[in-house]
Amino acid sequence: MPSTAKMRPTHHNSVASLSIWPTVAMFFAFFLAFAAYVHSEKQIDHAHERRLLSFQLAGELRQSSDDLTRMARSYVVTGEPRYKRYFQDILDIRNGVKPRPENYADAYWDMVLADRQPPPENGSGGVALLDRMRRAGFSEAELGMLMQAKASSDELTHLEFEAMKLVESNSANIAATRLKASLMLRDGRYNRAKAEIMAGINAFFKHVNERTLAAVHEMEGRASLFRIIAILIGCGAIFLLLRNYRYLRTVLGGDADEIHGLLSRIGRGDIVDAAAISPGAEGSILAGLVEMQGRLRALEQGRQSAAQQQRDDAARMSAILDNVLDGIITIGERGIIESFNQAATNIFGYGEAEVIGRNVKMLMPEPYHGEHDTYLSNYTTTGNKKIIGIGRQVVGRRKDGTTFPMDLAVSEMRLGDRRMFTGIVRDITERVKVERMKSEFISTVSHELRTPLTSIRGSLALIVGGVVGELPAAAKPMIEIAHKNSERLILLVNDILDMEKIEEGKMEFDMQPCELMPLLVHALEGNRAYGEQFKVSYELENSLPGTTVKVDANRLMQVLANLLSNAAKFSPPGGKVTVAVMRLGSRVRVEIKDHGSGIPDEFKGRIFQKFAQADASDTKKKGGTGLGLSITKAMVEQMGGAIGFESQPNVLTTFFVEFPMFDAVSRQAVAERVEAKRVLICEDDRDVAALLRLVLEQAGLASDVAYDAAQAKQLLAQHRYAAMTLDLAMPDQDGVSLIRELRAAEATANLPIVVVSVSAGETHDELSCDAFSVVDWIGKPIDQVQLVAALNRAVNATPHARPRVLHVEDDKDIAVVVYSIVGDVAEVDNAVTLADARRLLAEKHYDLAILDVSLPDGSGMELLPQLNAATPPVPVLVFSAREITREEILGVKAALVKSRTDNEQLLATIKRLIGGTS
Amino acid sequence: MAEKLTRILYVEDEPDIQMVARLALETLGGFTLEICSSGSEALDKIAAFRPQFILLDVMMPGMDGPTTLGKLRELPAFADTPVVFMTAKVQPSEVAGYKAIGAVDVIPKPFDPMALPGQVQAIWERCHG
Repeated sequence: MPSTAKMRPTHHNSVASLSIWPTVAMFFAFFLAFAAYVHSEKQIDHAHERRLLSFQLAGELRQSSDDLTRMARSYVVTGEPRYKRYFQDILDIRNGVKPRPENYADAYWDMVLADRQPPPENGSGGVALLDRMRRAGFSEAELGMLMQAKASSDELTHLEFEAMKLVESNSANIAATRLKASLMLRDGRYNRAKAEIMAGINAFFKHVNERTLAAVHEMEGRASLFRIIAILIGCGAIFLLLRNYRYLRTVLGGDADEIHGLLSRIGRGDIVDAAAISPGAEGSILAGLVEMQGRLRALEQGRQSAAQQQRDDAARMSAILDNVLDGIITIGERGIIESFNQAATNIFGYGEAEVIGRNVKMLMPEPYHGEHDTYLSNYTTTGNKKIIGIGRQVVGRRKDGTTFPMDLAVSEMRLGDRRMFTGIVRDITERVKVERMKSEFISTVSHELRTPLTSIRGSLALIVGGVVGELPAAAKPMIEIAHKNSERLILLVNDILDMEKIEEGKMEFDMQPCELMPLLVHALEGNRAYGEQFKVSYELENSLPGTTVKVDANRLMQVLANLLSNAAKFSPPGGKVTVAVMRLGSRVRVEIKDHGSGIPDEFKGRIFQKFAQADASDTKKKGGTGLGLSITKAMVEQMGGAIGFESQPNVLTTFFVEFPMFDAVSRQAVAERVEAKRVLICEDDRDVAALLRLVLEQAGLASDVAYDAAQAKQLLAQHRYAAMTLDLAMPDQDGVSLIRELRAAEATANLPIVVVSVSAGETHDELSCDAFSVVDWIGKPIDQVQLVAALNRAVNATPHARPRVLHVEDDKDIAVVVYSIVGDVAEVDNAVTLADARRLLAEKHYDLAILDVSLPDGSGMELLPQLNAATPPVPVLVFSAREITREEILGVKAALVKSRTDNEQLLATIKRLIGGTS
Repeated sequence: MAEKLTRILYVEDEPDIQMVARLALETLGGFTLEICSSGSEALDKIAAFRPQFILLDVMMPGMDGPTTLGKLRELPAFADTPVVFMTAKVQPSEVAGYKAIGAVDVIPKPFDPMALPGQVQAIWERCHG
């Protein structure tokens, strides 16, 4: 169906254009032929007219001759002068001397003679008969004949004049004279002359008759031809017209009225009743219209059913929303409540109508009530999340003013271009009460348990320790059993308390950088006695001196004790548990390996769950609460580490914990080349380079100088440096691209870089400079991998479990992106302006600053003095456009020089990076 | 080392624990121990006993440990005597609280009586070391 629908239009066009033009041409030809026919009919008429005119002229000549004869004869007989005058008039008219009277041809002189008509008047403007004949277009032959007849007529006139003159001669015998003259006008000469005229005229008549008749016939023949042609063409045109009509009907599928009717029905929106299509009209326009009508009907039905569906869905949704136990509230971007379900009404005591259209802060007590608008606008402008997508416990306010604890989960959604927030609210008054009771109960119980346990365990320990004297041999094992089990009971109580603290999020960690190896040795030592119970020994496989991790040492000992005791518990008697340490990139891993029964596959998924024990029947044999690994995992993760295991039962079971190494770079450098902490000075100004070198030497640091980027790269390839100072404006390569290049290379990816801008002071012994440690110089758009790597470099140097990052960035999209990348591992604060950033820096210490070079109120670089003044100085990660111009670099350099600090700070920055007390 | 530790005052309401502690500190550790069952008793006896070192339970009927510490500190003679809490209430925040009011250390209960003399001696040395 669709394919024919697609093809049809082109097909129609071509056929329609083909069939219209021949018809038009045919009609044109028909009109031409018809015009020719009409023209030839006119010519026939013209020929008839000419013929009539010819006869008239010839008749007038003959008539004038007869009239002359009559006048002459009458004059001769009567002698009345008027005849003679008329005679002369006739001549004058014929010769054009007098104008021709009207009705001259119709028995004019008969009327004059009977006085019924006045005689002709004198005047001018007459035309000679001969001239008129000439004008009538007679042929030469015909004119010749007429001339001859005229000549004969003139001769006759001459006779007549003679006869009239005779009468006028004063003869005595008038009667005789008249008779004679009368005879003259009747004699043989006269008759001959008369016959000459008539013969000429006759010949003329004959000739003209034939000629004009021939002309008429010719015209008639032509007219007949054109008539036939016109008829034929007309028939053709009618045929074509019929064909076009039939074709049009086929194309339309009906007549114009039907199409018009259907179109106006569709136009009115009447698409319900389908119009019938006559057979054979498939594919016609009418059929197309009917099909269109059908589709419109289908669309309309679809729309109606979709609308119905939507209504049903909405009804169902609203039924669901009204029946859930959680309050569901949606608000717009400005905090105005848009929906409020039944449960929300139950929770807050407000009816739906009381809250819709009002600000959601009405549901919050102070200080949230006053601050909510700020949260919201903060989030919408900076992307800083207080609660969105996180969910937390907050306090709500009911209509009656009472407050209650509630769980609030807020999610963001977009409807078209509108931003909306959905809050799911649960009144947790009961839960909080129960939790508090549970917490109090556990705290009380454990305290109450500890008090008698103190006595029991204390007494037993003293007896076992021999403080009260020797025991009978039979009593000693019994007392030892009691003592051991009192110890177990204490462990159980401790585990329960730990679990409780972890679940409440109340377990506190005192994170400090600690040397790992002494902790391991200590842990092995501390658990040796425990292992001996199972006849299992512990052994340290290797050592990584100088490896430092940032942990709570006591908690790490607890973790190790848990893992070591588990390994011993499940080892065969006489077995050995080995501990290995290894570096994995920037992390260190501790592995605890045993050759015991291992972990059954079906248990692997549950091993870190609370109260999980592989085999209930083992419980008695192995002891333990089933809380150990769960607590261990929670503690490892709280300290920024990871835990995992691999197990092949009875072959090798390995549990491992991993922690990020503290200041891995510097420790590594220290470990590799403790004696030579060399710093590479990359500086093109020789005086400044010499000054820097002097300053470093005085601090006990050896240095090499590279005067351009190429030399720097060469030196970096040859030697290992603890750090590098860098002037951003080098002659052969700009500092920013050099930083990027070094970060991309494996060997220098973690090289501490201090950007130094120095101008030599006048006395040449004091540096006027500023320096900041660059973790990285990252281009926009953000490369996630690069950003995380840069962050890890900063994390290594941070004393907190979660590093604090200050992100100075006015583009809120970038702020959101950065937050989404690093928000999981770091606390990120976003400052939109320099002023914001300064305020935040004054409030807190950060472990890393991410700076945007251009901000609404200046360059991020202007923060460098404040960042460097912090103790320790805050390392910087610079965000700037991928391509940075030399002018921009000089601008940054100028900003650095502007923010001068002293030698001490420069050294502090460098020393911190190379991690030493040099 | 300034002075050898001999006289220890222990304030504890639980007689069983008193017993254990007496064995541990007197028999095992060789110290001279004066045990009081309440804060008020301690305040009564302290002048006569002149302890060099004071161990305090936290939860006691009548006057609790911290209050007792406060009263002791009001006595000029014992304003600087090292005080250690022996308690089962050893949440980090609680420990910080004890130290904030002037305790030099905390020994968690249940304590190991065999190790107790050593612990006490170590704290003493730290205070006078």
